This record gives sequence, structure tokens and C-alpha cells, in this order.
Amino acid sequence: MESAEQWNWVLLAYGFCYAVLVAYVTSIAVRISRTRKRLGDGA
Amino acid sequence: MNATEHMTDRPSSTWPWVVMAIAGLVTFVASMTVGPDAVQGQLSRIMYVHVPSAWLAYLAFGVTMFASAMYLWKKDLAWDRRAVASAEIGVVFTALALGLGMIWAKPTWGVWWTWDARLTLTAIMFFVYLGYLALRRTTDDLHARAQRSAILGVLAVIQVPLVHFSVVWWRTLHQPPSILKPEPIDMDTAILVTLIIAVVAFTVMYTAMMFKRIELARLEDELLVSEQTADSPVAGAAVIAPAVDGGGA
Repeated sequence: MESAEQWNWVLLAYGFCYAVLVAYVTSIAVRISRTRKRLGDGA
Repeated sequence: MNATEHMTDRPSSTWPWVVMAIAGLVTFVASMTVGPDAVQGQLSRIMYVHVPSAWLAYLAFGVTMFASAMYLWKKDLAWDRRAVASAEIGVVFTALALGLGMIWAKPTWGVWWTWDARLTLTAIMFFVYLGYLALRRTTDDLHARAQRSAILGVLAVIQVPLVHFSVVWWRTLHQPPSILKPEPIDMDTAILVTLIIAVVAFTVMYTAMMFKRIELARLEDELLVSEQTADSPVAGAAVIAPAVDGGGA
């Protein structure tokens, strides 16, 4: 397999990895924000 | 947290987000600047995120086991929150380890997936911990939820050594351990240093994630308690009783 083709797999792997990490961290931030808002509204 | 102190009174710290970003950047720069492996070529770069993800799955589920055991001993919900935070992060990193392994396997082995002992046991571990997270949705009683999930959290950790030693105990396509093994490490120094940097950076990232995920767990518990204790209308209060005519028909 040529180096350029290998780089495509590497970019796919890093794209997948960082997309998952960013999505998960964003989900934590959104859930914190929503829960704080609900506590602020109702508590 | 005492009765008068609420999470909403505390400012949400921003440093964990910064730490996560720096850890991600350090891993990316280190793994893209090191030279390629003599045999695997550029594909070896996938190992700098695959191996730390697998390591964090082990660490996260180990922390879940410890926190679950502490809950069963102390009956303190703070330990339950640590357990669920670590379990959820562990599920994410197990998914990453599986996904990155598949992306590496396709150009290397020629297949995305094979029913190899390491791969199969890792997939089972992933689904068991998804089950752990689902189990927590079966009740709104905080201590009942903590009790049930703590028992599973302690029992499920047996999969970690099973996954790790599967490549030693069975004949597998997956290569044996390169670092966590009794024999001396036979790896190129630059590759080993890069791998260690990536493992340390991912571990720092996990620690920062734990801070924010525990904060979320505290807020969710507080919301659940506030909803349970809020004044709710008496059932049937909206029904107006018909007037009773004393005159008779």
C-alpha cells in the first residue's frame, strides 16, 4: 500500500477519533447547561 | 454537598475544557511528527490514539469498580456519581478503541472485523457497560439506583483482565501486548516516547472529563431531588364535585 493511501486511513482514524471526542465533550457541556437552566427555572 | 449548598450556586469551572483541548492537541502534534514505523508505515500513527483509548477503557472501568465498591461500603452518593462518570467515559473510549482498531484492521488485515478473542471480548465489555448505563435508568430512587449499578460496576470489571490477557490465553489475530507485559519492551525509542506522551495526554484528558461529568451527575441528582420534593397538585384537585341538591327529586 502506498504512503498516500496509508495517510488516507490515518486521516480517517483521527477524524473519527476527534469527532467522537468533540461530540462527547459537547454533550457534557450541553447537558450541564440544560440541567442548570432547569434547576434555575424550577428550584 | 450539604442541604443548603446547591450546584447552581457554584460557578462552572472552565479549566477542564482547556485541559482537554491541550491534551488533544499534544497527542495530535506528537503522533503526526514522529517518523513512520518500518513495517506498518504511516498506519502505525493510528496506534497513538488506539492504544491510549484502550488504556483509558481499562482505567475508567477500574475507577468505576473502585467507586462502586466505595459506594457499597460508605453509602455515599458522591461515590455513585464518580462511578457513573467514569463508566460513561469508559464506554466512549471503548467505542473509540473498537472503531480505531477497525479502521487500522481494514488496510492491515483486509477486514474491518474478525471474531478474534480480543475484539469479541472488547465488544462484549462495551455492551455490558452500556447495560450498566441503561440499568441506571430503571429507577428514580437515588440509593436504589446506586446500589444496583454498584453491584454491576464491581462484577463487570472482571472483563478488563479477560480483555487484556485474551491475546495471551488464546491464539488471536490481534498482536500480544507491547507495553503492559512482564518481558522488557522491545520498541523503537521515538515510537515508545510518542506512545507514552499520547497515553499521558489521554489520561489527563480523562481526568478533566471526569471533573465535568461528575459536575453533571451532581446537577442531575439535584434536579431529580428537586422534582421529587416539589409541591405537586393533589390528584383529582381539578375535579369539581357536583352540587348536592338537598331538595330531592
